Amino acid sequence: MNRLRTVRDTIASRGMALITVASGGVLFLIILGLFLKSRPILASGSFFGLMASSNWHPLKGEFGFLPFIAGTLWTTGTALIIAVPPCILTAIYLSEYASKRMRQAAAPFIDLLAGLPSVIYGIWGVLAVVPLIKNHIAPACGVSSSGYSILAGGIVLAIMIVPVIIHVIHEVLRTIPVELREASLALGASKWQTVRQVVLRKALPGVIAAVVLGLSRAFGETMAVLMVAGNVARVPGSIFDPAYPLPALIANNYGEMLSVPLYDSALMLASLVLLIIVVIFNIFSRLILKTVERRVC
Amino acid sequence: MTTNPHIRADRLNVYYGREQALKNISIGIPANRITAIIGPSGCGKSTLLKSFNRLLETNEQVTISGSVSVDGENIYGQGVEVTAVRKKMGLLSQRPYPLPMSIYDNVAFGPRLYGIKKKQALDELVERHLKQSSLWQEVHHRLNDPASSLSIGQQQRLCLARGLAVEPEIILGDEPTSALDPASSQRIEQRFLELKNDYTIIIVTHILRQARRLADYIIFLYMGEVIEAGPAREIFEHPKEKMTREYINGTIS
Ligand SMILES: Nc1ncnc2c1ncn2[C@@H]1O[C@H](COP(=O)(O)OP(=O)(O)OP(=O)(O)O)[C@@H](O)[C@H]1O
Ligand SMILES: [Mg+2]
Repeated sequence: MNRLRTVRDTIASRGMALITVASGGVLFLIILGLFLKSRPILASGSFFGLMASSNWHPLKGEFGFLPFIAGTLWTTGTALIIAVPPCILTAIYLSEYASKRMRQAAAPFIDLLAGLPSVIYGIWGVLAVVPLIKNHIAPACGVSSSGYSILAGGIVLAIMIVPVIIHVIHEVLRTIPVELREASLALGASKWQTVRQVVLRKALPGVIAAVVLGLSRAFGETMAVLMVAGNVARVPGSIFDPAYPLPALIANNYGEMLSVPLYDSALMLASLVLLIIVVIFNIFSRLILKTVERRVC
Repeated sequence: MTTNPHIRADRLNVYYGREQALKNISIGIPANRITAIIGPSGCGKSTLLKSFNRLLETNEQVTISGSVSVDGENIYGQGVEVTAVRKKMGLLSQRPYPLPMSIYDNVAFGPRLYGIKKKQALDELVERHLKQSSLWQEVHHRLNDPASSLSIGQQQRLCLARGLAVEPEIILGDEPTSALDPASSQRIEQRFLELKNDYTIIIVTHILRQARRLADYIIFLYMGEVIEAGPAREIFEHPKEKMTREYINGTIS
């Protein structure tokens, strides 16, 4: 009996180890595959040369990736700036101030928003956000814009990542013990002082994790951004300029432009670069998280 | 009991939703004494303690009727500022909950809320209260470490220092030693005995021996009602109620 149990235990733990290693292996294989496929274009110029160049003329054999990298960073950054403050406030409201009924009413709604297919956000962006920017926001700022812009992409992305971020921050806030809040209140702190100086501080690592999660989604999000960002291969100068983020580049052109020499390879490199950006971000945020955790909790 | 209690509850009723946790409580807590609230689990000891510094109302389900007066003023009266009520009392909970900041900032948290900004004044306060809680020796060289890096016993003394730093009149302890090892418990008890000259102390405990060691005054609660309240010696040696006697002898728990 006992032997059988040990054997089962061994099989279970080996099996799980295997699956873990396998999923890590898949990532490695993807990177390797992308790298091998991008070798032709990497042979045509230095990696950093390609990344720093803003000349994208595939027909002339010029592949500069800067517009796309900049487009990705601009849209994602804009989305983050728009999304994070309201997310934090909403999560605080739900967990600290809202009545139980309010909370119960809001939760399924937020989850639903998190699950909507991105095309729907894209359509909404084209129908509502793009005209809004073209007719109202841009003129109010004294510029003219077609509406298809970083701002449009940023707004649509922000709306998409908001539910996820709210959800995670809310969960994090709920794990903070009531007694910690009581400790602060008992010292005579007001509710808002308690939230700001104690609850949020305690939740900071979780808030960072939530933002990173939203960010990861934003980096990779293709459809909705592709529909509203304008897709012009130029390094943007302001949020009213159109942008061409990496995922949009790949999705728009893969399978169509492959007769152009090296284009195929360039798209592979674009995927690799996107992957590298996401990995760097993850490492970076992990480092921040570690420092914060050590300093605070 | 003294003619002028520091805290007086008058026909206090507390409900969690529909369930009544405290029933018609009328008691007085003498000043500069240690009062122990004893009784079996779930009888309402923590609820009674929290009614004294208005922590109950953070729970939206709670309804309260009756009054609690501190220094003769009804703390549930109209226009009473809740932060001012809480400032009069330092709270020690069952387990220490250090605020997510450094040791120094934990102690300075209260004083900063009340507008003390000068570093020198804060330094002096922090040192004094850490000494008063007999923690200074162990932490003076690492005041900027996170409070969570302390042991549980040290954290509980830190929470005591943090509570004392708002210069309260009253110390509330909800089983303040229950998570601590015997040595740490003893240090906290020792502190209480010394502090009672300057503070009114109320502790919840279900360790009867602790109540015997510390308390001058006992409140015995059972199922949300005060069964008996009076000087510790009387309660322990000549309990008037049969139930009190049974609880003290360990037949009900
Ligand atoms: N937050 C709450 N929501 C609902 N009911 C509660 C809540 N807190 C306490 N109660 C109920 O009120 C009654 C008194 O609880 P209380 O915590 O005051 O007891 P206690 O004497 O401190 O018990 P213990 O010795 O176990 O700490 C219990 O019946 C409990 O179930
Ligand atoms: Mg209790």
